[in-house]
Amino acid sequence: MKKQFFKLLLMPMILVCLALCPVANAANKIKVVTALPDLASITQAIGGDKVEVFSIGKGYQDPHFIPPKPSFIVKLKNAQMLVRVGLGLDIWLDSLIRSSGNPKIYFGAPGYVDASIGIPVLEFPNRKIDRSLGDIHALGNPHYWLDPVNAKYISADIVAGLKRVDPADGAYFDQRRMMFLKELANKLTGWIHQAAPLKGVRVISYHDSWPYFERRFGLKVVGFIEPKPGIPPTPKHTQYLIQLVRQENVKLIMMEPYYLSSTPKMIAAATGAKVIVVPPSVGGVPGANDYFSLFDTILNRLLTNLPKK
Amino acid sequence: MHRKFRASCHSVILWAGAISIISLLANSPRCWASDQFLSLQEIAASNPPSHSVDKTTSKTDMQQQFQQLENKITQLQTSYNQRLQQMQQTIDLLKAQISKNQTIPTTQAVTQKTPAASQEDIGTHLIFGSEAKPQTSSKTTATQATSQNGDIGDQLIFGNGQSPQTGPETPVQPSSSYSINSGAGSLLGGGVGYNGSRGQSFNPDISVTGDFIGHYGSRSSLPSHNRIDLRESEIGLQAAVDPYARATFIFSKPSDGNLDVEEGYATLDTLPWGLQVKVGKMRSPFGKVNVLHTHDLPQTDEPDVISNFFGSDGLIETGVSVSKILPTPWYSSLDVQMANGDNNIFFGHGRLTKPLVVSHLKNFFDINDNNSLELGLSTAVGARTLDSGARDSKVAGIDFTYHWLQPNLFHTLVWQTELLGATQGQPYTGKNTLFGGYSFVEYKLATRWFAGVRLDYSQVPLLANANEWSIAPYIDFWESEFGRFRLEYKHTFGHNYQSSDQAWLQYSVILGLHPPHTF
Ligand SMILES: [Zn+2]
Repeated sequence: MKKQFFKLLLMPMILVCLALCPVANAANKIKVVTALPDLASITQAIGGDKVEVFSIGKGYQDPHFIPPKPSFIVKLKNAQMLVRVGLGLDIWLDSLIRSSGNPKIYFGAPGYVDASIGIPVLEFPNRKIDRSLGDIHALGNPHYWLDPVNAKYISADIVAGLKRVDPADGAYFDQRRMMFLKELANKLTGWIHQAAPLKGVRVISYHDSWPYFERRFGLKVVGFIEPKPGIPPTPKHTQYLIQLVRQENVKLIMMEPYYLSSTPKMIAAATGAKVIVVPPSVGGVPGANDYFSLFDTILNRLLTNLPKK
Repeated sequence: MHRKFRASCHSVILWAGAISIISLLANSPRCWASDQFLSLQEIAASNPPSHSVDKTTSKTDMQQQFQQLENKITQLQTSYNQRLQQMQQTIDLLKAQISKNQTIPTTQAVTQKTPAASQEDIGTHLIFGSEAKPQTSSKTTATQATSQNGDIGDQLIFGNGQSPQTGPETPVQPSSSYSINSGAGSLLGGGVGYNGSRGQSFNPDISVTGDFIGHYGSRSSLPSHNRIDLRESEIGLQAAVDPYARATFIFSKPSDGNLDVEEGYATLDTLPWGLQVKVGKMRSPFGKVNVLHTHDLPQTDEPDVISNFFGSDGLIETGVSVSKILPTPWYSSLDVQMANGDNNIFFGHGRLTKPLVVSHLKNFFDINDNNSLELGLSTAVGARTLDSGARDSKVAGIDFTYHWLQPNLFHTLVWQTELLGATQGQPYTGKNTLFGGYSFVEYKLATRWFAGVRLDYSQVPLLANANEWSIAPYIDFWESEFGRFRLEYKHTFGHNYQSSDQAWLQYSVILGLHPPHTF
């Protein structure tokens, strides 16, 4: 009888221990989880040594379809802040957030940051749409980090979140944001001058990842390998693209690193255009190590492959 | 042995229940509301940060500010309307020109109007707008930073034509060939997008799934035997109840049954200690396959062991479940459900005097970025009611899943195995011990194409010495994330049981919002 009683007590005691056991906090840094490495890079730039940032998505993965592995739930469970892309890009995060059981990062909580707040969204559908038009980009184009100017909104959202989580260091974050934006402004001046030869250059991209970039740097994306966002290429559409490439005198086919190169190569073979892999995110290719070098890499790859006139 | 096991199980339930009730009482909604959640106004005020209103100002100041804000709103509205009109005129003009077969003057529209002065430092101009360039001094003080920050926000929100759309940049070009992107939609850009994307409605997320199958084969006991059937239609509704809970309702209609509530439960997921409590009717947390809905099954039919042990719908029970992610370095979660025990193959007592307790311990290990292992343990302990009184039944399971993902997901591999053992309470002859399991391998051949094969072994409850082996190869074609074709063939070797050959052609569709497939 005594043994029974002991067993009755043992189980709940284990449960309580597990529940109360505080996870050892590493040096009081704010743990931030981001959806994509671009947001991680900006968060790191602003948060400095006050934050510890982890990005769920990697630059070489399709940001629309990140496998929601349970190991990410552990990261989210211990996080004080979450920075997401929003606009329906990272819906794979929703089930992870809820499974984390961490109300600090639930929708509407202080640690929840939607970096799309304030972004002037492009390609917002102004009429009824349905999935016959493809299953992504229903809330407008979500690849907004590819215009460096949008980093001012992204960083404002991140600073707001950091201040909610850690009000005492508000001045520190503000100051670092200003430093970040000043450096960005300097870089941007260089990029825009550097990108002058891209003005009006007609290209095709695999996915509709580039409208923000295009608008800033003067490229002209005239078509997409995907017939509709998220829908793989079809033979008929590929035939149409071959015609389009000839008609519009397209010299470059931009391909994000996470797509199959077969269709772009087929179009290139038929038309003489050149296929180049261009990373839309930090970590997409070697060299794109942070938000600044991402644009260096993209512009470099475009400019070096630009046909000489 | 059984008694000890039962005693410890019962103590787990009692304590889990007590803990959740205490935590509910100790943390009144008021407390949560103030600590963990901001009011809508606060969120609006703090995101973006530049909105935030100084809370120390006096009442008259606030009234003045309010007045100013109202004036600005009216100004904005008028200017917005003017812009709308201008755009409409442009659109009409363009339409007229198109109808006259003239070329569209896009080149004019694209012409840069960058002020020459800012060409030198265009980056600063774009980032900081038309206001004075930021201090070049590196020792920007905190207050300067804040006030400047405030100015930027102020300018962006109430700015005089320096908003990003009208700034010195290329006007929006309809850059894509999609009809949804062209025309006024992209011209209106951000403002409308922002508001529209967050169109407020408190309606739940709705999803509808249809599972069409054609069956051909020699197993006549199946409801769809040699028929084309809408095997299952399902309506799912899901929404947040309030800041503390969300709820899910799933109604389903099988081809051979009535419309029924397949699942209906509320989840309290803002409890302390990371506890999540589910109340209602739900798929019991046993193993990997039991928690999946029919259209999400990895093969057209359930593994034999699942349908033999838990019935064709699986183990679905009404009760309370408590789950928690354990504080381990790897992902480990424990989910314990206490339920009535309505499933009448092994249980069926149906009363809390001898409740059914289902528990699942899930462990997930990342070997590296591309390889992962999942190891789970499950138990279900409950009672059957027989003429001679209640008798205990127990089911235990172990599941093992290996995932290999190529970084860009061109190819993936899943190998999943579940083994189940059970003792079924019998009227007179004591216990009947049963065993079964399945194992399948699935490989992603190419974009949208998967192929796999499943092996089954299961003993049959209530039939002494009856068992069945089967092998089922299948191939999947995903036309999109929301539509899938599947062809499956299955050969069953029955021992003291029916042998059969069967084939299915399945087409599953999903409408509306559906969470991505679980890993
Ligand atoms: Zn996209």
